[in-house]
Amino acid sequence: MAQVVECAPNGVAVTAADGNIILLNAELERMFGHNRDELIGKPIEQLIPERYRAGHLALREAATNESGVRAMGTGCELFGLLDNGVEFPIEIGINVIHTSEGMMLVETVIDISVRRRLERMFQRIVEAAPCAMIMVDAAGRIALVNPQAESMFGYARAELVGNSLEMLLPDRLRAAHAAHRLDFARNPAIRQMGVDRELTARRKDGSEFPVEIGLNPVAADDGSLVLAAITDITRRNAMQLELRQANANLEEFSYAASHDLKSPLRGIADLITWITEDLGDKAGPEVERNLGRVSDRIQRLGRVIDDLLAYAHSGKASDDVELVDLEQLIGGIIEILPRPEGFRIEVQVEAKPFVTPRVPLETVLRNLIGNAIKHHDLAAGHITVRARDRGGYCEITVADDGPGIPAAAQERVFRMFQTLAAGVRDRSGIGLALSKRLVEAHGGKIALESAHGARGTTFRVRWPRMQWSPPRG
Amino acid sequence: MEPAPWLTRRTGARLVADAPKWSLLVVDDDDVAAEAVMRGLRKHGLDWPIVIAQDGRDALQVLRGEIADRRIAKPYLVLLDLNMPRMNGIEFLRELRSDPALRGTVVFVLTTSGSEADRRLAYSEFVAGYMIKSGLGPQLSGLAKFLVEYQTSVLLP
Repeated sequence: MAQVVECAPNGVAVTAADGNIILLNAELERMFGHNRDELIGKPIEQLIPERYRAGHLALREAATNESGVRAMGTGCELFGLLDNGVEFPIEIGINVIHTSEGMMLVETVIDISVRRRLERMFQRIVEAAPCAMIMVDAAGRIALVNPQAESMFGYARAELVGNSLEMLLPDRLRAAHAAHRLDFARNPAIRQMGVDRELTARRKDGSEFPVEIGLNPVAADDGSLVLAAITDITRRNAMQLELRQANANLEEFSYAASHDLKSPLRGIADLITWITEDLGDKAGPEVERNLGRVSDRIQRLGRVIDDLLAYAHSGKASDDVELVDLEQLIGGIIEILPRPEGFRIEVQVEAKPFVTPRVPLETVLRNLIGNAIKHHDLAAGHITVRARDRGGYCEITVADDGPGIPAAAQERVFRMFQTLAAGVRDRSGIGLALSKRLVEAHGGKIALESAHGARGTTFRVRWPRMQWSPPRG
Repeated sequence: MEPAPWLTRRTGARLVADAPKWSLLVVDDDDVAAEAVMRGLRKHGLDWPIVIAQDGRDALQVLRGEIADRRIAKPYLVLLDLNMPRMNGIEFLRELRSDPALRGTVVFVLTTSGSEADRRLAYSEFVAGYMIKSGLGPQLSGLAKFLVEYQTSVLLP
């Protein structure tokens, strides 16, 4: 028997009927930090704190009295006592055996410090979780809640624990939920609850609110538990609805702009053409000049409508991605961009090719490089376009040696219809607003640097290298 | 006015200009837009009879011969705008396709809207083509050219 005791993975002490230790194993020595000799012949109660000794004695007697019945693993949690007075949580089991030398007690001791620590950690995680958490036992009774759950549902902890989980649902959903719960118990897995349907919860005051619930099965000694993480999505739903409406409005606006604004404008242009034709030579220089001015304005208005449409669409991130090599992309832009003789454009690309929506990025860079040329005040200019990898972003700078942008105007240039140079009339002044919207819709940032009183402006674009998935409405 | 050079070009055995005339039904609520189609075609030497309808409902009445002073003779084509009051282009197409007498009508959409949704809807009602006005060149020159070319190789119902 000594050998069996010695090689047990738990601490084992064998005592005589009077509770004095006869035999113990190495694990028990290790656990309590005593040598075997110090313990043999001593009462086993020496190993637990004073306050548990009477209880333990009773336990021992109870085990002894159930003679004939082997009191297998009479589980009882208490503390062990080290020599230096430090206590640690243990679990013991007492078994009675009958030997030729009379009745003996075998006490098995398990050090449960680690388990306790994990339990406490678990407790703290649950308490500190940002969402409401509720642990439910196999019978659907609430076993544990955190403060977030209390405040979400308006119940105090004591009102919840031990009661049926279905108390947190509207009456009409309770029966169905109980069935779902049984289904889950048969097939437990970490999953989102009710992915394809709206989940509704009920507060103490009877009011209802939409929730999202994540389910985590937790295996426990006393059957299977389920930890539910619950998020109140009232605000999110409201925001989603708002977003959907905003998108629908934008769609309608785009449609109206493309048809209801463009068609009459086209009509006006046609009418001007016909008037010009009908007048022929009779028009006279003044009328001809003014008809020309009308035509110019019609064309400009047409471009404004196109730009507005482009702007309206730019708020939606494109998911039409491809491998983009900036060297090629920037080269392509510069090749077709009209520019005066004296302009030199230097391109330094150190960024590796990456997968991203090409069209919006190209639009942004074309706008920035085009602006640098268009708004330059001298006949000769130098523009530097640099692209570098910066962590998750690709940083692209477009720096010119133009007149610079006064500090007071720097915020304004990103707004719609803001053109600083009075003479520049060939676009509607939407380029930067469009660029900013495009960059931001794709998860990037755009900023400008222009030192006060100095020449030159640098636009800095941070474009995500990673594929960025925007929130979907 | 001299006919445009491509109008007198020889195609096979006969001159294009000699081909029998088709009729056009232009459906557009904007009278200037309708006139622009007419003027554009005339300017480029296409002298087919043109009937104008103000919206889908008006167009159906014309096609069904319910309007005494606006009758249209076969063979004819319909040039259809989409955004119109009372009955818009798509509604007109649905009505047209459910009418056994008119369901085979050849319709081209002629509009200012480049909307993808409009295009999808129009083609699902079996239009023969979808044209955006701004893509047809100055004074719809592209339209006149297209219709003449179309007539040389296509037979209408």
